[in-house]
Amino acid sequence: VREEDRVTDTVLGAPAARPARRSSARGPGRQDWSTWPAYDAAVTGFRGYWYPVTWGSHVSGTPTAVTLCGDKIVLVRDAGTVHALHDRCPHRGIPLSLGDQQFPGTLSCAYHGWTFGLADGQLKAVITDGPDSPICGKVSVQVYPVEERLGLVWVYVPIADEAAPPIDAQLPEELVEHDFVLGGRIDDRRGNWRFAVENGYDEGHAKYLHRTSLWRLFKTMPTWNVTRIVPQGRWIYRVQDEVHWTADYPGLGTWTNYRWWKKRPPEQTFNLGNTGAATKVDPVIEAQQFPGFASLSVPGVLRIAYPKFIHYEFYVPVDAGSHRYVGVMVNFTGGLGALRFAAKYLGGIRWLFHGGFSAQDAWMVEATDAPPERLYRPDSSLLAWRRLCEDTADARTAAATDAPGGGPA
Amino acid sequence: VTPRRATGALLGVLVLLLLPGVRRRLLRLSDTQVHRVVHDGAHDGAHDGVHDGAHGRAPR
Repeated sequence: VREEDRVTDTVLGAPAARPARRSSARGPGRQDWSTWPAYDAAVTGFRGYWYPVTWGSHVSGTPTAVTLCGDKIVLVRDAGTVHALHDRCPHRGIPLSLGDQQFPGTLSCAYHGWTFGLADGQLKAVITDGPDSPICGKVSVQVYPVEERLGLVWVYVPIADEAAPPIDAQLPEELVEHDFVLGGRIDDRRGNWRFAVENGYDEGHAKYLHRTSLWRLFKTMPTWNVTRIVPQGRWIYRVQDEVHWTADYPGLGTWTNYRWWKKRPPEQTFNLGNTGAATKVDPVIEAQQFPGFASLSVPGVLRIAYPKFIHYEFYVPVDAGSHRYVGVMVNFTGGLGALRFAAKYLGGIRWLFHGGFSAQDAWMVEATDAPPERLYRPDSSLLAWRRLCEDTADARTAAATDAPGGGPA
Repeated sequence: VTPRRATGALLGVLVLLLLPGVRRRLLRLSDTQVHRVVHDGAHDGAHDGVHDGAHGRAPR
């Protein structure tokens, strides 16, 4: 852990350290993110990863335009398979998403009928230049690797022209092998994707910002916690060492989220969920042995483990000023349990949790304006995330340099 | 409000909600979906068996 990353005694298990502060003539706190150059440069996201862009059922033979990591992409489903192409006809720059399919396995530009193969992006025909057009085979558009998982369409954004790594290596491990039912919501939101990630993993905000949400109407939220960050594999986990439900603030008075109508939380500290210990934990979730209930991995996948379900948030970079929120709640059950979950999700959770609760996050993400920033003790979670991004970027650069063909690790 | 009018209004809303376009625009239901994900033993990483419960599609 670098000295400048230490604002608390618990970052990545580091020993007690004096809080770091980057002062300058312009004022206290951090004036920029130059401490984390890769993260600072990733304004439109990290390339070399798979991102969920939309529901699979939203992609048909009619072209769908999406923006991902600043790239304009058109999605088309042909013979059951989703294809992704750069959404720009090389001829005159018209978005291919304005066109349609004139032949199977192709997409034609709306302007002059330049027709590109969906599988390889090669110009197959120019309808307005006859069957012997000499330009055919000499022009192509970029194609992007596509997979369908969890009912979602995932697109790989390459760094250069490397082959895409298996998507299963990037999905949360427990979603690759187990059966489950999921409910999810996709929402286009304003604000840079990094603010969204940082908000999701922000240790201090949930207990205060979300205390008023209907989703927490009957659940007491803590007042303050003592936490530490534990790295494990490609994830960083936030471990709760102390949970305080009430506190006396000198000269001000007592503050608590206790209300007579809210369920009283247990006294002991717990690390599944943030409103109380559970008497029964789902066996799949228990088997994961998560060190802490909140975990995060690059390129911006948040996992919040509760006793009976896991909530994931994928923060998908669109451009510098907006991102796509993909919230997914997973219940490792089947049969009647799946039906029960579907009813609960469609009837309530999508409004209360992926709606109102999450809208409070969207509100803050849109309003965030940093750097400059003056961080405080609970922000050790943010610093750990930024350091994880740097370490991951360093490792991928090293792997790409060592690999004969290049490409991400 | 008479019981007959209340019942009529309720039925009218339900009929409106049966129209996909109304559902999509008013309730933004298309933004939220429920899926059943089943991994068979021969999972080769190529695809999941995704039962799209919200749209009644066959497993892929």
